Amino acid sequence: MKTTLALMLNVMLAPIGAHADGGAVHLREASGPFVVTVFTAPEVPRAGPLDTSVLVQDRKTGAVILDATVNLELQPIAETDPPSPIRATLGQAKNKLLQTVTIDVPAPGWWSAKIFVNRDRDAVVLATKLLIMPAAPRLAAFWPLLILPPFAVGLFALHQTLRHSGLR
Amino acid sequence: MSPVARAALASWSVPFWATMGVLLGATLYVRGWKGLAYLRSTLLPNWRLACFLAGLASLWLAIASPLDAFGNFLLTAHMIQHLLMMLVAPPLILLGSPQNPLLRGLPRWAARDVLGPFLSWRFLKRFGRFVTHPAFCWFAAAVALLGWHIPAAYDLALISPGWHDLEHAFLFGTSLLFWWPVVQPWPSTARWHRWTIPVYLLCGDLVATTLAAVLCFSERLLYPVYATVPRLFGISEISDQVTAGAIMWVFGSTVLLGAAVIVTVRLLDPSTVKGRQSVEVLKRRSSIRPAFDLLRTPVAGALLRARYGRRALQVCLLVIAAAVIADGFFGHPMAPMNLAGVLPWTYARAFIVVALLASGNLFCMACPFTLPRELGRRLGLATRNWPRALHTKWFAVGLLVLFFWAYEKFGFWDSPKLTAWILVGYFAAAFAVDSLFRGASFCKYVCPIGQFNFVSSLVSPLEVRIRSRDVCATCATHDCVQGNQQQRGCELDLFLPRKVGNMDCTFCLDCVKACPHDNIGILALPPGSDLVNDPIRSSLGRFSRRLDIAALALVLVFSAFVSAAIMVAPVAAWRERLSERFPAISTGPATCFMFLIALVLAPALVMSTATATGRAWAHVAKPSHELFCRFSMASLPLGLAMWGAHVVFHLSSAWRTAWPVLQRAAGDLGAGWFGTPRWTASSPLFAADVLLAGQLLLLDAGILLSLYVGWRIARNDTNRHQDSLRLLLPWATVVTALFAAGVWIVFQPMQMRGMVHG
Repeated sequence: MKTTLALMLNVMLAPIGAHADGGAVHLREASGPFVVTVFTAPEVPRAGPLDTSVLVQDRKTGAVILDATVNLELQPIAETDPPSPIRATLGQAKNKLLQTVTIDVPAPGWWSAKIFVNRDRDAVVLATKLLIMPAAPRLAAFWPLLILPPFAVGLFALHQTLRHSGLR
Repeated sequence: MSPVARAALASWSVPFWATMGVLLGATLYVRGWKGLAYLRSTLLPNWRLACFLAGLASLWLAIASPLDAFGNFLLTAHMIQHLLMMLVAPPLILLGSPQNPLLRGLPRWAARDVLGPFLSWRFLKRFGRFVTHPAFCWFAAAVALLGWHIPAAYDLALISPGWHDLEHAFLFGTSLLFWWPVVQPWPSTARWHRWTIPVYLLCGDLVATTLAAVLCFSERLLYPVYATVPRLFGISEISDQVTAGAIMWVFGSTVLLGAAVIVTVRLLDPSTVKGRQSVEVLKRRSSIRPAFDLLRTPVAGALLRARYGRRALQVCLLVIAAAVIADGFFGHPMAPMNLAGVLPWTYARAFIVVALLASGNLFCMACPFTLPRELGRRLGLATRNWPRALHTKWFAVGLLVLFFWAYEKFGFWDSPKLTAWILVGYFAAAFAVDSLFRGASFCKYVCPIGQFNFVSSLVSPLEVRIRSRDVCATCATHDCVQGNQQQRGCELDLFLPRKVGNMDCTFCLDCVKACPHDNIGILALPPGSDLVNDPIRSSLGRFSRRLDIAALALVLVFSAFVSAAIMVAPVAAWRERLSERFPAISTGPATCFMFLIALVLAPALVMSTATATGRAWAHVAKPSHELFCRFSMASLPLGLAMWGAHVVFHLSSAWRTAWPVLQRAAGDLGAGWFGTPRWTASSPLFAADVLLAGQLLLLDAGILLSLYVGWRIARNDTNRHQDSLRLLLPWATVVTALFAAGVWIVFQPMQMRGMVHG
């Protein structure tokens, strides 16, 4: 019951959080036997949860490859110690052809990203840079919930005015 | 089927709000359609129901199916999605003649009192006539269709989810308008002669065909965003564009021209004309639906009405309480690893508040502390009446303030042994009081948890009350309060015909079992409605003359904010700095005094100043203290919302703690089959943003309900709108300030309690 409730609430309020689905194309590169496309959401990456989706296709035929293993590494460009890679998985995104992972990016600035794609004996590594913008103020993300009371009060005032005056 | 095709076809999603909207629309329509059964043979036959539901289903299909997931990759998928939204869902929905069934499906009060003034608003009527004029409908649809297919707008919608939703809203909304004059849903009347409709449709087809032709015959890619995304299923950008254009052309023309043919045929059919002229407006059949009654539900109702139903619930909680006491005394000394550190302060508190918000005073119903009282009764000592001087809530107010202070001062949540002692003390107090005094004196005058629940349950949506006043008027025995040979009556002296609200009601259901007429239920009522009026309440009198109950309400409201504020980082840091500077303020008496100020004196001062200002400003004759009592009660919804936001945070952050603690406690007793506990930091029940959104929604609901109750009270006490506003404004300012404080608190990092870190 608790889990069901939790799931319901998470699903209900999910649009306020991350979308984990597609987003803007950040990188599209042919490497080895693959063509790899990396999407990031939000469209302008900001500090905080960053949804990253990867589509792996066959370089020759363009067919989508679902059984490739995709890992991602993300670290500030100044850091040298490699972070532990995070595995992207199928099924999290709305589009079930994409392998998705949500990475927490704690600070703005330039970050380097590495995408490791493995399938059977084929393995490729792609590298890119991401400019992470400062996180949007939390208030900005929740403004619809904050203007709800004044909006409802305004609507109620109109309702009462209509009910008790000759405006009808 | 290949795995890729299988994955593509599995790319469904359930957009929560849209799905809820569709389900709500369907529920209201079906409810209203059933209520308008007398129109079934004429205006609302079965096929209209089928059309409406099919329309909603096709709309849901458009936004939840793989069409949506692949719209960013394939223009064809996006086009089919748009066609469903523009050419399938709108006409089907309008064919259901949704206006009257949807209104009839709403609760009567919502349709009449909430929507009524808007529906009869002259401006809105004029606006409605304007936007349903065929000329406007046609142009709006054409502009939306062409506008959103301009490459810049289309690409913007593809890369931005917000713009994408707006695009869909525009296309669907204007399509509803486009189909309005075509379908002309009952009870609207045609503005243009029906013979103009085929021409109207042909002109619409012209626009759609032009756009389709551009897509088909353009040799360059119109929407550059499709060049940046990977190509799927071996379809090139240009063939995708041509396919999308062809589908739009063929499907669009088929639907629009088909509709034109149908309209023409119907215009030429003499039986349809005759039938339309013979339709008479039938009188509405009045049918007042009885309120929801929990006792008449199949499972819960049967359990609650069963002779030992309540006793079973109490025994369950008694076993849990015994386990908590035993573990508190003899278990692990660390609170997050002990049942006494986790169950009462993390789980029970949250469940009590959630139950109060969602149903009613369920904790008192299952309260284990009253079980020993039955034992005490058998001793035959309970012959005295509770002292008359203590027939108020002041003693309980004092105990509640003392409890809130002691909770912070001695850190109950962090001390299993102390928690165990508190529980033992609670059992002993209940036993002692109820062994010596008649009735449920402990519940009514002493128990701080009970008082918290009584006051909070005035905002709950369920209430124990009579089903029919007429039945009570003929009753001479008054078993509900006096009892009979088989069943005792209400021990809190609540006479059900005069009982209003949940104050002092423990949901024990003795009255239900005693009533020989089966005239008492647990009925639904709009939350907070008990706070609006001020009738004489059985055993309580009028709330406006009960300063003690008002004080109780203020303690509940302000303690919600104070207890949450104490735990957030900036306040904790400020307290630390203050105690470094003035060490004396950390002493027991000083903190106790500060709690007294924060929970009783300051709220009373602020609230009385606000109500006195409002009273003077609005020239209200009613005494100040009565207004103070009424508006203090009106603040309750916000207070309970803050409690909800607070305890749900703790439940979410420590919700996985119970299982390892239970494993540990069982292991200590030699019951190793529960497994070995894994003491790792648990992931929260809700993601941080989801939790914050839920907390804000709770606070929103709280302030809105408080303001509404305050407004109704102000209206009752004044004659003019301006005076109501003047009376309300100072109090509303205080409530708004509390709301702002609540919002600030939930945005701050909060101390986590009752969980293992790391």
